[in-house]
Amino acid sequence: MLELIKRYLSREKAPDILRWPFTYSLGQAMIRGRLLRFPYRAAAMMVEYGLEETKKVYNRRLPSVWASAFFPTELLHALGIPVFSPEVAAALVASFGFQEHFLKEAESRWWGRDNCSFHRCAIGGLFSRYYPQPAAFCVSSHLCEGAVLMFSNLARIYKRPSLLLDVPVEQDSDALRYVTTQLRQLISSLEEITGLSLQHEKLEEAVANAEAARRAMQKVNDLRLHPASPLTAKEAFSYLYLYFTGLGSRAMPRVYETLAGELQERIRESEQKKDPGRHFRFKLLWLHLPPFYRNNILGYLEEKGARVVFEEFSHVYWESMDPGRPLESIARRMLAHFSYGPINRRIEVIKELAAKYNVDGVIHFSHWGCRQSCGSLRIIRDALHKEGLPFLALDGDCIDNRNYAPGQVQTRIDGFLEMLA
Amino acid sequence: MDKTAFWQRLEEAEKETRQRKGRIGWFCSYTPVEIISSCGLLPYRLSGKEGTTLYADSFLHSSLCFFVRGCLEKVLKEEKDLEGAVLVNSCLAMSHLHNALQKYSSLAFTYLLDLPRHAFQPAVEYWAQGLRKFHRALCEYRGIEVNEKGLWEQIDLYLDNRSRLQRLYSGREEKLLVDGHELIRLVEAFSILPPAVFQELIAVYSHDYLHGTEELAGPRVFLTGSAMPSGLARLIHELGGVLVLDNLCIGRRMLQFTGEPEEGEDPYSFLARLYLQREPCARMKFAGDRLAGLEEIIKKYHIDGIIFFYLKFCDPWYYYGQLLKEIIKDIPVLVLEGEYSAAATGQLRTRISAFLEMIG
Repeated sequence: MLELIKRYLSREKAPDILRWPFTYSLGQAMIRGRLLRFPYRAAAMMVEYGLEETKKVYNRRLPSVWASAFFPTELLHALGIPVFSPEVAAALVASFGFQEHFLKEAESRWWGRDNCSFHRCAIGGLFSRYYPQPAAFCVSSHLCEGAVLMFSNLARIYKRPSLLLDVPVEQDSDALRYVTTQLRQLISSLEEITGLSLQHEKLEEAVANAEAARRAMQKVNDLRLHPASPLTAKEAFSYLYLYFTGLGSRAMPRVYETLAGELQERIRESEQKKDPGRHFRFKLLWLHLPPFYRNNILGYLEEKGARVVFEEFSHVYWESMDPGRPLESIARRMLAHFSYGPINRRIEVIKELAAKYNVDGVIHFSHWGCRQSCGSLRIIRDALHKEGLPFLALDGDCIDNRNYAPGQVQTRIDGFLEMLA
Repeated sequence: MDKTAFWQRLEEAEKETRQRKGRIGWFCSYTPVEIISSCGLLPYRLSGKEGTTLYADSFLHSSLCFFVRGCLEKVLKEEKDLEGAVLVNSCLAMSHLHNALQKYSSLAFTYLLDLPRHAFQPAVEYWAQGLRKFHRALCEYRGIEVNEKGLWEQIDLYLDNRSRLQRLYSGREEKLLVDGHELIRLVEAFSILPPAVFQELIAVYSHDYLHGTEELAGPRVFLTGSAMPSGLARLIHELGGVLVLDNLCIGRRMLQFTGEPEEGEDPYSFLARLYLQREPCARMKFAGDRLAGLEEIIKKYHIDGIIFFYLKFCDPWYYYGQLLKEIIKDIPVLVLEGEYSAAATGQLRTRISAFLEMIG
């Protein structure tokens, strides 16, 4: 059924249906009626939640906002503002195969192919009116500079407010105070823009939800250490929807708790059957995101006897959050990202994950236009070589498949795996 | 002094400065040079090697802008005597340059200074603390005590130089006796020379060359954009354009420091205020707001056309360019994308020439 839907959506005029709230209600009904099947109940729950949130965005009963990938969504959930994530939408659009239409729309205006395709896709989606016009553009400055600039430009073009959370590189008490002050101001601005008002207990609840989600994510990550863990990297990547938009929601901890329960159950079954699962010659760590259009990179790795056992993006990098100190907790989470600031922070986390998941090698998918993730690759490579960890930087694009050459990618993977052997 | 002799003297002073010990390289005009100078070191702007950067390319990713790669090439290959480098977290490319310098250069001191994107009071307070920490770190490196009085002296000295330069930029609404490329050249010298040396030179320039009668003629141009190859401003002049004003990092924007210290204000808060509230770089939150003011400048200065240059892979200026094109409708805008290379100016010649012909 999912394949049929995808085939329909890949038709030229098909994106029109994205704008219809009915589409999302239909999707929800199909999940409930089990017409859509998922490998995990957790995945079905997540998709149903995602459809509900997207429906809210399109039915316009409440003012919605665009939120960049690392914006603290706890604030938005506490206020009850529907969240639209253009980066997640780009990944979804690419997975359905109609990204080219959006990319070309952006390219025909100003935004050329040297820019991040997540952003070009978002711009194209908005200009071609497939994406909703928000009440405000909410962006945080850490990790993704392109998002700050894109949100600011779109806000000007569409005459909407642009709300920026400026996250410093420093992680000390001054930085914490600066971020916390801005969070307070953001709440005031959001209240003013949407006409909604924040109840303090709702904010506490959102932070409690984020904390519960953190613990459940950690549980899933620990279960993935088990050799019989069935969760593939491709499946793990799909949960990033919640990572980017769900922190603070009630749904996110439920989904991750369900996933943890299902993984536990399947691992137990494997143990009882004394079925260790498929043996892979090599265990790998994946850095940055994968391509979201139809591709066989992860599948090819598995064909060749290598499995990605963990991804950098699944790492729970922030400390526990205290609902009694909600803004400070959110600010701490903002400041804690390991990929921001001096490269040693990222290198230490990569080394820690490599050791924890006992990997044989590391693959970095170098998304064209992502200055943040690619800028210091040489230093990462040198540091990992020093640890005796082979490293492969795969150049590519997460959204734009026009330069995707499967043969070349496979040749590079073959060479890398030969080196590991 | 003959004007040619003046420029020769300026170049010699720059050459001598290049030989000096204790130079601390800086790259972004948000670098608080006053603090470096107050520690007995010489803040020295590194402009980056123009042209191919084969060596640096092996350390920095090819999707980072040519300027940062040029800067790395220069430090690793040419600036062997440089003592240290201070970088500002003004864009992602700069923070990667800091990573590379820390890892692959032999500099004795490197520092990455955080820079807020806002300019409101909490940002000023945050940055003031950042400047204080930077001063402390530099003093610790030098093995000296923090001396706020010395810092105030340097602030005064630099403010004096900035205001002298700013005066050269004033009164350019009508009759022009000096082309803008000369002013940019002076700002470049300001960013390299010891402040006292520059003070002497700027005094000579202001005294000797601002009283001519020969008015410059040609299409009046406003130049804006990212870091650019050194010959670009001069090229506009050579092709018959009159560069009235610019909006460059190492140009007019570096001078727009206004305000006096408030009663009891510490030097860090004062500096934070000056730097954050000046005309912003494209990466700042409020950069787009100032574009509305550009229309007024265009009218006031009788600008015939805008030349906008951005370096390939420079996201902040790329997005700024989109806004510029969106907002400025009344006069022609020439958009030039390029590399950080003098050779590239040859390629730009044809386009600039055609543009000047069109607006002339």
